[in-house]
Amino acid sequence: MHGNSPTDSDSMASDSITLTEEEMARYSRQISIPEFGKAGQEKLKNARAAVAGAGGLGSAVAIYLAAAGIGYIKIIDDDVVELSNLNRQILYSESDIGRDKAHSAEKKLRAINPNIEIAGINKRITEKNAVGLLKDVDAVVDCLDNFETRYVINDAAIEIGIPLFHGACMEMGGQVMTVMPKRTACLKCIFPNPPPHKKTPILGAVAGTIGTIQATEVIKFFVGMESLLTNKLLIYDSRFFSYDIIELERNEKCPSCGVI
Amino acid sequence: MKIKVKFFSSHRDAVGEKEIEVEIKENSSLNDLLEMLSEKYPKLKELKDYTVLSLNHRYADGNSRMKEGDEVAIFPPLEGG
Repeated sequence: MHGNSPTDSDSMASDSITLTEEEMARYSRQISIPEFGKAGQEKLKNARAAVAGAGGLGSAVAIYLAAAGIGYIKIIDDDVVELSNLNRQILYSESDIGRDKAHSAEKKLRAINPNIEIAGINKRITEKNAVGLLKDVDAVVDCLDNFETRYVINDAAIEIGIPLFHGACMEMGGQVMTVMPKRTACLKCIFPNPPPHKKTPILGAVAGTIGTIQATEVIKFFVGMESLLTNKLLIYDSRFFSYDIIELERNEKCPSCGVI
Repeated sequence: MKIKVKFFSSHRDAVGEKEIEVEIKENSSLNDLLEMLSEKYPKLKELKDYTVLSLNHRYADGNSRMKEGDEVAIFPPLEGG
């Protein structure tokens, strides 16, 4: 069991959340998963997650978290929807072009699941505002498209003490890792130097694959399931349908989470 | 000694192969391997600053030493979202 798991966190256990009849029916096909049960679903209802970035990864992550009944989802992005987003950003339709992503996403997610609370935040995440934006959630999902902001949310997650669910993709492949701050390797431990920033080619279905793995990680975490991608980097390559897992460990000298 | 080297993403594009077998002298380090590969595949040099390494499926730094039959992976951080 992870020490940061919400199952042993006071804040998660204190509220007594019960499911309505409608929710019992809506989530019946996942409540019947042995590790879930009604108790697992109640944990999801009580869970609060932020999705940083509402692009290709963020679309898949937010849709699956909303559908699964995560009680509060904050989706943060300062972009507007463009035509070239629509190959992969399945939160949006042609009628959203020119509108801001945060509010378009909020509307779409609310239509998927009106039982949960959704907050679309039309802001760029910066060093100054990151902790403020993330301090009212129990987990942050990294769906960003640049390392500069990834390092910012990595550091904010460490400061607040919430897990970070990292994902990234390029062309036909992607990577996923889960960070339990100060207990498992963080982004800076493993990727101290970012690649040069550029517009990355991405196949939508591949962003979806990576995003759904991230969403699965988040749900497993909230339900209290073990075997997360902590201290592990999953590398997926759809060109060869290969999944490689690299075992990781914290860097004691890490500028973000190190102890030395 | 012989070792297996796998490449991902931009590093695979730089080499043009997904996986190769390399003959390298005993007790060589991953840095020695990278240097040798960069001679043969000059595009790898351009990626040097953000090259990530693993040895036998475990994250490793360039000073790690290899032995016969080891498997090395060479890959970049991916950025897109």
